[in-house]
Amino acid sequence: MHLSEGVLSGPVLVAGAALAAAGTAVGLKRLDPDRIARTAMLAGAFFVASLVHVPLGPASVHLVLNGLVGLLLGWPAFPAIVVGLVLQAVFFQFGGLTTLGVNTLIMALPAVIGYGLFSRFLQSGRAAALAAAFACGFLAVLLGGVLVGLALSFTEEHFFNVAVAVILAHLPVAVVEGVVTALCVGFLRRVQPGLLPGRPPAEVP
Amino acid sequence: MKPASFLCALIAAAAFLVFPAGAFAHRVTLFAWVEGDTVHTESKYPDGTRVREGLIRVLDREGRELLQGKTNERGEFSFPIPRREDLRIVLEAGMGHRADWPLTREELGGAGPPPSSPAPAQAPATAPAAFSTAELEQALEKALDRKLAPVVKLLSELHEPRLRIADIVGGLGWIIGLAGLAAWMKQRR
Repeated sequence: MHLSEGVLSGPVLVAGAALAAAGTAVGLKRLDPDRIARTAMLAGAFFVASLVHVPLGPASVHLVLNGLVGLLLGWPAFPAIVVGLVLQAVFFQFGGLTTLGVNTLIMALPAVIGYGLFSRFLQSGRAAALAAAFACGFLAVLLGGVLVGLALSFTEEHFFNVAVAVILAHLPVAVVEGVVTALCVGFLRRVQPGLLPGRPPAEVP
Repeated sequence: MKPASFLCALIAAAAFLVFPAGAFAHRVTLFAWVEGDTVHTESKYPDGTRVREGLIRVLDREGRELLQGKTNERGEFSFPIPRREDLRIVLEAGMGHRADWPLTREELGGAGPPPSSPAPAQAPATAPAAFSTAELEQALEKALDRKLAPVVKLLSELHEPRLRIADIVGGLGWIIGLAGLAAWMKQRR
């Protein structure tokens, strides 16, 4: 899901960087001081998740966890993902520094959308919460795939073919992500329900 | 500290899943070398999986495409040298995975005289037992190519960056540091 350097055209890089910067600013503004630790924790999880390697077909893919990050954070997912991506680029050469903005947008925007759509279900019944978590993880990756297709379409000619290929390629990862997100949410519901959105922060121990 | 233990569990799970395979994904590497009149390329994902059906494009210095082809089952693609000048080989493994490898004129043998054309003309003139310079050069090059092949292979393996635990720990340290910085700044306000 990380776009490498030298793939995208200049205007796409600049537009991506501008939008990502705006999202990060909003995220930092909405970052409640009590939630800094949580944000850092999820940034760490995001940073490490990219190393979890899932062999699928000819390509090798890795977890993204942007759905989980978004679901638990909302807008602060932007700064969390930026930090994770910078460190991945520097330490693992995933993506790159010039594509940082675009990559941030690709992963953080679906995360925030997932938060808006699904976070309200997390405190309802167990089945509904797990289904919402699965949907959030699934959709976050799939939307990311759509954004990748869109970004590539400005550089490559056959937009439709590229977009379809990218989305198809992301489908299995999306399923894996959905399952992982549901597992995490199920675990948190049992162990630390205060971490899930939809509860007043006062209840967080 | 239950959240922290959750994170630890995640990291442990990640480490457990990753390290036995020594694998990490999402970056492709391309390695190319010259053997006689042929350029060989090898494309891999960092965990050693070969890139199948990857598109290899060969560009000249101005970025014009000279030829292209697909990698085979073992991630290899070979082609005859199209022109003895600076070339750039680009691998596009789809979905934004891309790597490139420059080949200089010297590597392609462009600096020396054209290797084969004078040889047949000169050969009858010299004594039958002696080799002409051109022939000698060719034979040497062939032998060297053959002898150096394992070294080249080894280099191609060394060329790949490996995942190091120090990097992971370092990255997590950065995140903790940034969180501390953010908390401090929010508190001052």
